[in-house]
Order: sequence, then C-alpha cells, then structure tokens
Amino acid sequence: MAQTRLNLALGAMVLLPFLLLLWVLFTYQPPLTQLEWAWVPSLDVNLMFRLDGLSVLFAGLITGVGVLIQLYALAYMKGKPARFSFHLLLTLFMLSMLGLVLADNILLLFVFWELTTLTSYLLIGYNHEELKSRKNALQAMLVTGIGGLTLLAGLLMLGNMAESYQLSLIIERAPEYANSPWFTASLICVLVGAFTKSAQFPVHFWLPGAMAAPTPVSAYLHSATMVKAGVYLLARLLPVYGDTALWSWSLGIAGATTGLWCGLLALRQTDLKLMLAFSTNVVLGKLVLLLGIGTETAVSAALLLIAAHAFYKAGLFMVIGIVDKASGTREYDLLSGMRPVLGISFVAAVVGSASKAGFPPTMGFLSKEYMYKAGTYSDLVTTIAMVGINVLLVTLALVLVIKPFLGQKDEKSVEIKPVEHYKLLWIPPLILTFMGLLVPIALLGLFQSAIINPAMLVMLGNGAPEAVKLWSGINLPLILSLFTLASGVVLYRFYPALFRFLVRLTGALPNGPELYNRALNSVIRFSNWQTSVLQHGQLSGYVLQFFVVLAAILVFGVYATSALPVLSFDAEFYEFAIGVLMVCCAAIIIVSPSRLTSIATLGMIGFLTTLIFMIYSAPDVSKTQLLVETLSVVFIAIVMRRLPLLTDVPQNSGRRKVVQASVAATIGFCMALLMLMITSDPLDQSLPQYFSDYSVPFAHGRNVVNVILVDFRAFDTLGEVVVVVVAAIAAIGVIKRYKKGVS
Amino acid sequence: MNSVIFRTASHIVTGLMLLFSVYLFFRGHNQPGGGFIGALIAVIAFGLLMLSESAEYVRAQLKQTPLFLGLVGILILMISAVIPFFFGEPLLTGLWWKDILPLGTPLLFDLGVYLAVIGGVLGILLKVDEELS
Repeated sequence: MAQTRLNLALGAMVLLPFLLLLWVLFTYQPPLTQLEWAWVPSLDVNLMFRLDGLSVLFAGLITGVGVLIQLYALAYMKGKPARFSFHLLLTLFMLSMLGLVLADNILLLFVFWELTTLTSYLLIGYNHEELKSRKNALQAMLVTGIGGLTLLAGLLMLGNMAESYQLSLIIERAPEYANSPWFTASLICVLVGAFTKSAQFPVHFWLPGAMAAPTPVSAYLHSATMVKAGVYLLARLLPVYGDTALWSWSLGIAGATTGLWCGLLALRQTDLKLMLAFSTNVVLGKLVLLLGIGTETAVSAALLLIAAHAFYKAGLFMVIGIVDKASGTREYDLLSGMRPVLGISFVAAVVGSASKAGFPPTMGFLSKEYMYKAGTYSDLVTTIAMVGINVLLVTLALVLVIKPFLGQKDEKSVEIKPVEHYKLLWIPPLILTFMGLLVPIALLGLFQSAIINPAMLVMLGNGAPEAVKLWSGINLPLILSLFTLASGVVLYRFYPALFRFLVRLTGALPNGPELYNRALNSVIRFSNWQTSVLQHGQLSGYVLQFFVVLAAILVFGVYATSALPVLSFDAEFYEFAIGVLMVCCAAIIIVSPSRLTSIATLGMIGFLTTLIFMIYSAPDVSKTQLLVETLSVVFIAIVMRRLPLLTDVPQNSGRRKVVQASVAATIGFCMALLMLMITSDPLDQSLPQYFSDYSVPFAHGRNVVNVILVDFRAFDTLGEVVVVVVAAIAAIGVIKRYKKGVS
Repeated sequence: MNSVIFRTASHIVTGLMLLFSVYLFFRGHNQPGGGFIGALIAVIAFGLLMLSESAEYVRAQLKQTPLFLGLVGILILMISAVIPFFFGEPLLTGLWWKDILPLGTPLLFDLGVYLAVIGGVLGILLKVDEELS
C-alpha cells in the first residue's frame, strides 16, 4: 500500500513538469505573452509573468529537462532513503527556477532567486550524513547568498531609478536614467549577484564543490538550469546596461578568465564528474563573454549555446551517473573499456561529447560558429580567448570518451556491471543528447521564429535578425572551427604531460576553497571572540547588560525629545490608591527575604496594571495582561521549585547593589519623564479614528482590537504567530540540550 | 500536589476553562476575546491540569504533541492567507460568506492564531515542567 502511494506521488512529480511544459508552449504567443495576478498591490509588487523568447527558452529547458531528470532520478535513486523528499525538492526547485525566469517584476524575480538558492542548498546536502555534503552545501549557499543580497541592493537601486519594479518598464525607461549617480553602483551590485550565481572566477569553486549532490541534481541544477540564472539575469538586463564600458570590460574579463582557467582546471581533475563540473564553469564563462560583446551575433550564439549546453551537459552528467552505478567509481585511472557493457551510454556519450567539442552538425558546432563570428566582428584578443577556451573543451571531450569507453583494460581497471536493463537510466540521456542533433538539423526554423527573434526583440530591440544557418559557406569562423578541432586533438596527444604540468601548477597557486575556508574561519574566530566577551554565562550579567542598554536608549530618548513634561494631578482617588499600592509592592519585592513572596507581589503589580487598563476601558488589553501575568507566575513557580532559598545564597556585594540600583533608577526616572513628555501633547487620533470608523463596514467586526489583529494588520500577526511557534521550538531544543549537558 | 480536592476540582475547572476559551475565541470579532486571549486561557487550563496531575497526563489527554498543534495552526494561517488568491484578491484579504452564518477567512485566520499560540506556549510549559521535575 505504502509502495503504491509512493509510486503515485513520484508519478505526479514526473507529470507536473510535463504539464508545465505543455502550459508554457500553449500559453506562449510569440513575441510576448504577459500574465498578472495581484499580490501586494499597495507596494506595486504583483505576480507578473512574461513569456518572451528569452524566458520561454529557459522555461522550456527547465520543464523539458525537468521531466527527463525526474524520470532518470526514478531509476537512479531506487532503493535510496527519502526518495519522496528528494523528488519533492527537485520539484520545488523546478518551480522556483520557473518563477525566476518568468517573473516580470524584479522583486518577484529576487524572491524566486533566493528560493533556488535554498532548494539547491537542500539538494546539494541531500546526503546529509556526510560531512563533505553538508560543508559544500553550506559553501554554495553562503557564496550565492552573499551574491543574492548584493543583487537585492542592485535591484532596489535599479527600481528606484526607473521608479518601477516591472522589468518591461525598467528596460523601456533605461535611456532616461542612464546618467543617474546610482547607475554604476547598481550595475556593480547586479554583476556581483550574477557572477556568484553563475560561478564566475574567482568564486567559481562553489560549483565543483556542489558535485557532492546526487547526479540528477548535478545534471539539473548545476548544468542545465540554476547556474544559468546569473546568465539569464545578465541577458535580461543587457538592454539596460549593455552600452556601458564597465559592462563589456567586466563581462569580457570575467568570462574569458573563467573559461580559460576553469578549462585548465577541468583537465587537471581525475574525477569524471568534476571534469564536467569545471567544464560547466567554462561554458558559463563563454556565455558571460558573449553577453559582454552584446552584438546581434553574440546574442544569437549565446542563445544557441544555452540550449546546446543544456542538452549535452545534462546528458553527459547522466552518463557519468550510469558509469558510477555500473563501476562504483568515477576515477579516470580506474575506468577503461566500458563500451561492450555500456553500449547505449557510449552512444549518448559520443553524441554529447561531439556537441561539447563542436563537431558538425551538432548544436554545439552551430553555437561555436556564431561565437567565432561574433568574435571576429569584435576584436583579436576576444577571438584568441574564444579559440583557447574551445580547444580546451575539445580536449576535454576526447578525454571523457576515449579512454573510459574505448581504452585497453589494464590491471587497474575496475569491473563494470551491466546496468542498462534499467531503461529509465539511459532513455533520458539519449533523448537529451540527440536533441542536440535534432534541433540544428530539423527544428532550426522553429527555434529561430519562437526563440531567437522574440529574444532579440527584447534584448536588442530588433525583431528580425539575420537567420541562423547551419552551413554558411567557407569563411573565417569555419576555418577557426576546424583549427580548434585539430588543436584539440593535438593537445589530447599530450594529455598525460599536460596533466602532470597542471598538477604542479595548481599545487603552487592559492585555490578558491582554501581562501573561502580562511575567510570562514576568521568569521568564526571573530564570533567566538565576541561571544566570549558578551556571552559569559552569568545570568545576572546578561540582565545587567540588557538593562544598561535600555537605560542608554531611554536617556537618549529623553535627550532627543523636545517636549516639556507637564505634571498634572487630575485623577480619581482610586487611581492614586492603585499607584500607591504598586509602589508598595515594588518595595516589598526588593526587601523581601522570601522568593515566593516576591513572585506573588510581582504578580500583584501585574494585576494592578490590569486594573488600570480596565479603568481606561481597554478590556482586550487588560484581559491579555491578566492572562500573561497568570502564565508568568505559573512559569516562575515551576522554575522556582528548583532554585535554592534566597537566604542560602551569598548576597550581592554593596558595590554591585549600587550599580544595579542606579541602572534601575535611571530607567524608572527616564521612563516616567518620557511618559510625561509624550502625554503633554495631545495624541494623534487619526489612526484610532480610522480603525473605529472602518472596522464594521470593511471587516465586519465590532471589536476593533481583534479586527486589527486578524484583518487590518493580519500580516504582522502572521509573523508574530510564526515567531511564537519558532521560539517554542528553539526553547524546547535548548532545554533538551541543557539536560544532556548536565547528565 | 496531593490534595484530593484540588485534583478533583482541577478537572472540572479545566473543562469549564476550555469551554470558556472556545467561547471567547468565537465572540472575539465583536466583543472582547479572540484567538490569542482564548489560546492563553486554554494554556492556563492545561497548566492547571499539569500542576494537579502531571505533564505526561496532559500530553496523553492532548493526543497530539503541542508543537504539532502549533504547526497545524501555522498551516491554517497560511491557508487563510492564500485563499484570496483564488478569488483574484491580494494576500490576506478578508473574504466573507454571510448567507447562513457570518463566516469568513478572518475566522480561519484567528483559528490559526488560536492553535499556534496554544501549541507554542503549552509546548514550552510542558517541557519546562518535565525537565525540572
């Protein structure tokens, strides 16, 4: 029974991305479809979504690859613990990512952006019993989280300049605010956000670290979708920032450096999955470089590369997953001659690698052609960088296929178990890699009219760019392409020597994870230091700290308030009586030798306060006060049973008593003074008036306090109630820990 | 506490207090009361029972752990917050359906507050008592 239910649930999670894919395809009317639901209309933040060439390309990849990944994960995660939550997390991630690329409001986009960071943290740390998984998940989240906060700052500046948070309006009004003093600052913040998310040099290291995740996650998040969120953002904001020099320089340098350096690092790896991870860095670098050029050909190349990379990289990751399942290892040295056992995976690997290396007529070839075209239109240095990056990719593609699949078996090679009877393991990678062949050969016209043209329209304002063709005659890009392939093959001949050289080189240089660890450790040291200063473990000290700060704030409050205190004795005799009683109670608390007396007297002060609320006709407040007072007495009474008698413990020293008395006196005096100052002015009655006027017609309730709580200010209540429950969870956890520590 | 009178009376008083707490919860929108106040009374009622019997006894009577109640409360809050979306209204808009009884999403919201506060405060109370006795 449980098994059937699980299967149904898993099936639903496979179906969902498929339905979403159909929804995207049927809703989308090129060049632009907009959808809107109200969310927070008073802040101009609404659930606004737009389907145009750029977002549909991403949405199609997210949902389409999503279906295949869910299918693949069905087979891959068979027998693993917590399968349901794994698929659920994948689905949640997919929905956040979909929201990110479809959002037409930058605040909404940011919310989804952070949601992808969170779900990705949970997915990377899925094997949470391993220290490495937890550490790398945290690393990915800290790096992208810092970037996310910076991005928020940038987006807020952008929204302020454009006086709207709607993407369409921000793009439309771009020329109006290009000279604003905030413009450059917002650009820098946005770039930090995009570069961290898309793992650009020097924070590229979190992406290979994220390979601690199960393979379906790496194939989906860290190649096809999430890491491209930064690229997506850059592509979206190209019309806003694209003309600035800072844009082209920083994107060009970051992209080229990432591409070249991570390409070398990829060749230095021994784990096949890490090779792929670094090569994802390389492609992200290429994309950033292309967007930095920002011309029509460069944008075409970027769009083609996004699709090509999603197809071949996700497919190759899945193949590595199959290899891992079949052999139990991913080490280059241990894998040889797998073709006889893993025949279908070999086909997928060859087709995928061909696209990665850019052999004609794959999608990878097409994107490389357009990349070189964009490069040759641009300048020499860029073109050389592009050729260098692509040569490294060709070599990497050969490394991935030749020895592991075709190499001679030697004594180090591990035995390969047949796993291809699980159809769901090899169908998804085969479909994906063959898409990289199908699109350029058969579907190029559709890709052009549905994706490239509408995307050009929003990114460059040109709705009818030059058509993308697979064969455009013998020209400079084609020659460069052939040269790249040839150099890649030559470089592969020297791979063992190159590998040894790279190991020596990278051993001598400081690396990203190390710097990250150092930074993290210094933060930890700092917080240890400040904890030892502030959190010394003495309760009386904590209370004193708290009240000293409160006293300081109150003194400042008195100092900053200009009103003069007005003394008035206009009160009924019973009010005086209550006041006098309260003062007496306070005196009793201080001098009483018995703790029980003190607590009961403290409760009495609370009940007298309740009486005051009653006199001033605030029944709800007084009721709440009464109940809270009762509860605190119950709590204190429970705790008190464990405490020693007051007469048994040593008394505070005289000096200490003086300090505490003076702090208490300051607080009491300032508080009284402040109250007198505040009440000397007549109170602003507009809010109470508003609530009592509209409570019945708007909220159908005559109890204004309750109406404010559950309707007018319901959002505050929502937060407060969540805090109550979270505090309870924390308190229960702390009490448990304390007990464990004692025993 | 071993007083027979206290023990016997506490059961009756707890029952009455819980009834009163529900009454306060329902009348809250128009007269003094509401989810928060009702919840505090319910917690005090259970606290009384805890003092006369034991924390384990209260847990056994509750059937669910307090934190579960609290989380159900938050779930109800969230549901009442997003219901307006299905009617094309922004988050947390109060929707009313007054054909037979004055029902509305604010009532659901208040129910969420009621359960969440009971769960949170009672959870701490029971835990403190168990750990210190």
